[in-house]
Amino acid sequence: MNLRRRSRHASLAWLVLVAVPLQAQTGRITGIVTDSTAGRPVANAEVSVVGTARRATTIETGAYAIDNVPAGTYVVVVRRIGYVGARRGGVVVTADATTTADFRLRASVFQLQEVVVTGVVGETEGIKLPFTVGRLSSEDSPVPPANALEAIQGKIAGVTVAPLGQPGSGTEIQLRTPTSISKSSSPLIAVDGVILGTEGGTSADLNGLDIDRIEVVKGAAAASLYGSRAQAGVIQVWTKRGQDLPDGETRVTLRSEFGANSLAHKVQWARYHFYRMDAGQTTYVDSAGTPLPRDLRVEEPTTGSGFRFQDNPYPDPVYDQVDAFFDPSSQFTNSVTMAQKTSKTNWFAAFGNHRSRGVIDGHGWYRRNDIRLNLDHQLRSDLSVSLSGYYARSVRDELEGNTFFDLINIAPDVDLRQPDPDGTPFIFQPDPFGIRANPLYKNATESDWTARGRFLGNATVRYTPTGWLSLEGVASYDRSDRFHSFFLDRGLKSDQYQSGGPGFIDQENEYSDALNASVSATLTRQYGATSFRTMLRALIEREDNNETEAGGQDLAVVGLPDLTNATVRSNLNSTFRDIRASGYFVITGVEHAGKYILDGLVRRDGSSLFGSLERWHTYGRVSAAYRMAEEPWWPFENIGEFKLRFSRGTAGGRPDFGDQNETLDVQEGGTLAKENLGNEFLKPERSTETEYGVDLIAFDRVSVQLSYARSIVRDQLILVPLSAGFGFESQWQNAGTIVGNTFEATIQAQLLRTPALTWRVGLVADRSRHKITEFNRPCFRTAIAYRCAGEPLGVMYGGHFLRHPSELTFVPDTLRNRFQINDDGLLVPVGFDTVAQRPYAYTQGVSDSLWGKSVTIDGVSYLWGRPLLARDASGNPAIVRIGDSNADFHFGVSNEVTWKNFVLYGLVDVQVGGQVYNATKQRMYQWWRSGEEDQVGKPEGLRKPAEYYSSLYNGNDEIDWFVEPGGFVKLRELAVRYQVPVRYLAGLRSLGIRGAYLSLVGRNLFTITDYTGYDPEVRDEETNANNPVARVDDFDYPRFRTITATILLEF
Amino acid sequence: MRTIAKIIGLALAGGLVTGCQELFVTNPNNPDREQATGQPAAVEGLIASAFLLWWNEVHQNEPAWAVSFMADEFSGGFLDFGGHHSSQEPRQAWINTPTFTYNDASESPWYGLHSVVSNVNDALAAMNRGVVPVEEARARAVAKFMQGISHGYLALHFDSAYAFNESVDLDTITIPRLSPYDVVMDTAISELEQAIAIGGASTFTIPGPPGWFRTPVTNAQLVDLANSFIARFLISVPRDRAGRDAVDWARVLTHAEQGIQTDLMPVAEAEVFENGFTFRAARQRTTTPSDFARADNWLVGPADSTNAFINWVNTPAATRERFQLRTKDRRIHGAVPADSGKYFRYHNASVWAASRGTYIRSNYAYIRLGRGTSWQVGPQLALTVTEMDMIRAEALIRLNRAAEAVPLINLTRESNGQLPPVTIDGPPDEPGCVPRKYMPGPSQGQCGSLWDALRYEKRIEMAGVDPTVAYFDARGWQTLVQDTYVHFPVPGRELETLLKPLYTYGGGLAGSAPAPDPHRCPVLLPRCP
Repeated sequence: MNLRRRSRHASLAWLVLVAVPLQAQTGRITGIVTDSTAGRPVANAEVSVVGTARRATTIETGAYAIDNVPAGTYVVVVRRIGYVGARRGGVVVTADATTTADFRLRASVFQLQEVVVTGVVGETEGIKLPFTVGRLSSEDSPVPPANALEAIQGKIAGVTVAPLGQPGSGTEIQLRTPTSISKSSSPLIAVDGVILGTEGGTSADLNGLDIDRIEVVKGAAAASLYGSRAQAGVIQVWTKRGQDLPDGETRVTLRSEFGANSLAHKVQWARYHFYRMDAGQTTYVDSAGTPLPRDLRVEEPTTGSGFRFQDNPYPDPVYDQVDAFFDPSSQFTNSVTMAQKTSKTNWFAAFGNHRSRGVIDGHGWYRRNDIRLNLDHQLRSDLSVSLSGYYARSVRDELEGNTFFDLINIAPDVDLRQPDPDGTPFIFQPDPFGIRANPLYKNATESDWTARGRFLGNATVRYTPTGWLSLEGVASYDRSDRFHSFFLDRGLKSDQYQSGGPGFIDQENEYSDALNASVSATLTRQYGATSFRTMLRALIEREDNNETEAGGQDLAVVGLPDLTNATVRSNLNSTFRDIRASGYFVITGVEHAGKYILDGLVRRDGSSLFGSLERWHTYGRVSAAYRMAEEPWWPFENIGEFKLRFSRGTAGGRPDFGDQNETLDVQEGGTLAKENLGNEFLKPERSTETEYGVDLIAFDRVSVQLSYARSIVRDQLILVPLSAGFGFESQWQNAGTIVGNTFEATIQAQLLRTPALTWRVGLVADRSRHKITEFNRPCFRTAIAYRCAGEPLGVMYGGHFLRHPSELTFVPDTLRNRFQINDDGLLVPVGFDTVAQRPYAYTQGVSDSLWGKSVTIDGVSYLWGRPLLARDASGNPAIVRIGDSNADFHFGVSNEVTWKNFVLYGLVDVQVGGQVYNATKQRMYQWWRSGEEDQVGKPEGLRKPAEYYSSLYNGNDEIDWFVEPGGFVKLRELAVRYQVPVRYLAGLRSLGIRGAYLSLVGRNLFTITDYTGYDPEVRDEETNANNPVARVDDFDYPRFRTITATILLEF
Repeated sequence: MRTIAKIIGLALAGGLVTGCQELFVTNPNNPDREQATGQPAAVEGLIASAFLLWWNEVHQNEPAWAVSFMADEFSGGFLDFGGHHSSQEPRQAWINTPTFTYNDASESPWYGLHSVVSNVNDALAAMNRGVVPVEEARARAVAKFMQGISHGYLALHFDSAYAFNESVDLDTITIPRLSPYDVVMDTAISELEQAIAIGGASTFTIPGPPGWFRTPVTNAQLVDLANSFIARFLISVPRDRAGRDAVDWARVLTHAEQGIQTDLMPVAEAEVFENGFTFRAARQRTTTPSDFARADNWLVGPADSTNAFINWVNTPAATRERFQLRTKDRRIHGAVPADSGKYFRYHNASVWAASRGTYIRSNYAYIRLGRGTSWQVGPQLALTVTEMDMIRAEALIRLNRAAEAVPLINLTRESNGQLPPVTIDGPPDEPGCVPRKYMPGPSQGQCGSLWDALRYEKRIEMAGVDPTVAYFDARGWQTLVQDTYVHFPVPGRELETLLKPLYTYGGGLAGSAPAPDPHRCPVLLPRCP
């Protein structure tokens, strides 16, 4: 017998040992569960007898009764959401007798005490976890977020959320550090057990009001259980169910929220120009002083390199183009929920209706209707079924592609809101010199919308034939349908058809079908003070994605948005992407004496996305925790909980569909272009994370969780360029490593706790660092992103303006005083005043007519006063690191004060450090639209000509001038809730109203930041679409403020 | 035991469920080489689509705008496609780093043209293995033609490239070896000659759209096309005046005379077969025509009968300002200077910032092909009989048969420009002669020579038709602005892949054009210095 076989036999023997049932006559356990502080009964607490399938739920009086418990000595456990779980050992059951076991539950005011299920065998109290699991319940989140998953922002440590501003957008979430250079660093997301599909799986479809709780595991040390999709962590969402209601109760709630959206911050728009005017600055004139109409106005003279100031007032009215384009608008959310619980069945139904008009009046709006039904039913004492179903249908108006870009091109003295002769409410081109057309015209004429349908369904069957064995079968289904329609009618104007175009139409239909199914067995046994929990699971995944697109132009008939109306057909595309995966795992948790905790798992995953010679991969985890405060020798009385923990695990990141394949790209017209040289050895990325931590609870008032995690993600999927001689452009290879580390702290404190007044404070903080340590391909730059060993993701590369004399390495020391640092902090050439026998000052540009002239320093000619680009040894603009989006650290502080019938909640979210590249402002510099270019009101010595700003614009190449501080302090959430006293509801009792709540809610209310754009929370969708830490403000829809009022009625 | 049986049953069920799932999934969206060359029809499809791929690497924005701007054919204030970087004065070296914003100007033709060759090589290799399309001669002729014009453009644009054909087994090569541009051009011409041989020995018709040349071409016309490209390549490949002087002009004349009889005009189709160069040359986005590129003053200036252009030439580049000219050439303006000409029209609005250089500003918008929409549908001028006439005229001048060149030059000069005919002495020596000599010196302002007239005629007729010819001619005519790079280096990304050091050309480094000397004639002619 070889070792492997012997090992297998040993495992079987252990299984058999665990499987031996106890044989005895039965007795009864009864008792009452009460709140330890208030002394009132606790209903809906689950009381279970460890090692048996026997359990019961407390009724309104807190009483419970468990019959048919085999005679013996047991541990009885009580769990209830909102309370710290309690257990009592040595409960002796004798045949045909009743044993009493009362419990006093302590309210769980800390996340650390809550029960979690993610990443472990079954329900586990947080205090017994050997790794970190972030948990957030609906009670912790009184302000429903715009996007359901954004609820965790500022409330769970190590979470970075990169939202998009437009209503109905999904969100990118990063847990701790990025795990992939080329692929997504977003975690796996599951809702009621439904693993969201890789495509079309946007969280925008979810209704945040449905959420009961969210659990977050942040890296491979905790997420190994989820295998090759989990290296970036896992977020599990559970929606509300009827199980928490008292038996026999039916509850209905009506909730209506209505309020206003507004832009939180405006960008500064130029209000002056540099066209030639008469002396009184009332009329455009030519060089001879002859008045000119606006259409024929001429620029002030430029002498070669330029010399003109943007300081002339417009003779025509000047408009606030931000106000003309953005418009405070409204949003509302209505919901009706119904829930009921009977002895064997509970169900929860919800209907939601959400409308948001964003901040652009009439455009970019979003509407969603959704329905949910969750049902649990106990078929037999040992057999139960849970069903979850959700369907959402939404429509979003898509903005014209370049709408924010068009906007920044608009001159201040044109009226965007005047009507167009073609009947459109906004003129197409209000400016004869306009480069871009009026974005309001485009938005008004283009019919561009996306309809989405989303179904999430889960069916779970649990069979518990014995107390130590539970079998479970799960099937979940995620179906996403997307239909996008674009229609620009014949005769309407566009950039290429200023007099009216031939008409365009495009339609795109996509669907994603994701099915996940699993069967599992959970074995639970107790041997004295040692308990074992083991789960074996086998699972499969099937996901089918399909896209079909068709379009055309030259419409035969006006007003017909039908594909057959296009006489010239194009954009015919279809794509199929199918994914298949299988997996098995076994996980075992061992707990001894409630203080020594061990956990281990092995998982083997196969996937069609892996190369044909690398189909299967194995992941695993070992974890341990030691609850020192449970030791008899523990000397600190006030520290009631103290746990050291360690976990080390592996998880994977999959290639995308087609990465492993040799592909020729079929282009429009049937052209074949060699694209990707296949790779049958392509492996998933592999993350190994080690987490250390300590958890403690002191004075029963403060909980502290401190963690340090270090991840190494090897086998990075990298597109390696190939020599042109081979014909193929590139090949996906496992060719890199990224290393990250994170410190996290979560502190929760119950500062006040009296029957009339409670005050809870929460602090989460994290500091993350990462970098690429191995990159087996030439370094490369795509726009501002740079990928190279030694660099983190989110780093910015581009040009650099000299700022310090030490950078003047190209001139002798004796001539460095020919350069000065101006009031912008930039080093500029000023030359030497031969009359005064001293270098000019940078402030003498106007007084000595130096602007526009050249100065020669050490034989090199420079434009006076202009910033100097750093250059490399070849004389080309040097490409250097100019910024870094990665924050120094984040923290979030939440406060919840309950006083009588009022609840006040606020969340302040802070990012310290981290920069934003303001590409929007850079483009504004191109056409002198930024208010920073206006020279009115400046002292003469500080005035700068328009061409100075052209130098700063730098031809739209990335340059450090536009790297801005991105740190912020944001009042992200604020809510005041008032529970209407029962006495005021007396008149409404006849309507069945049992409770009423009024709330005032604000989101993104106030931001303190040095960032000059609309909002510092931006995401680089161009070159870092998968990387939430990279922040480039590139004409993004800004995050906006909402203030709403809510009324909630309970029946 | 029942429980154990349940566990075992469950394990078996789980294993069955997961084990039965097939983890091999085909990619139905993109073919691989086997699919692309496995059937005769597929092989023919690979060849039939090669011209579309080639077109994108020659007539689309990259490298079209970089080379057109460098040749001072068009000028523009936008930085896109590397055009402004390549044409700013003083001229800068090409930035050959993979991080350069506009490196697509060299990477696009480099990878694209090699990709065309690779596709065609696969097709020919498949045919050699016995996967033969029904019309084998047609397939082989077009394949060789496509190999030839792809290798040809690689040789024209780059200092070196890969000269692989279907006989090279890439699976046996670890690091592919580059060949100098003259070797690559020899390969190209050899391949075009093979196309001529096959086309001359067979009879076939190449269908029109959607594939092939997007216009019907007979075997005889394919031979004409191959001869035309050989003529273009032979005169275009030299990087300097000496090299152009050394061309076998008799051979050029032979190929040009055997060249096309009608213009090659593939039919454009939106998003399938577009012409980014002409689209942007003619672009009018809102109200300002030709807002991307204008006729460079060096292109239209020689026709000016006033001193506006000459004054502009005599002004340092940094302080040059656009001007309005007056000319008899009706291609530039109508009866009065404000009227539209046949190819250009006066428009004084300029959207380009002065900081980009006032010397690039021009008042002449390009209207020959319409105003921004004609690129989408219809025939696109690609290779013209006029170009062959001009090649023949240059060859005849260089072969001391200038008198025979005169009527060739006058064809378009008289019909399109409504200019008086040139003689062997050049244009009539009269006020308003077109062209005039413009470079500073004793002859500045005088009427040009026949050589000047040929160069002017070819430039004005080719503007907006082919984006590359003006640049290839300019380096052989020595009319590039000093320090313009005369070819691209192998792109930095490729060099890094090959683990070779980066290098570049232009800006006074190796591979920089000398000071322009446009009026010097290759042979003795009247009015030549």
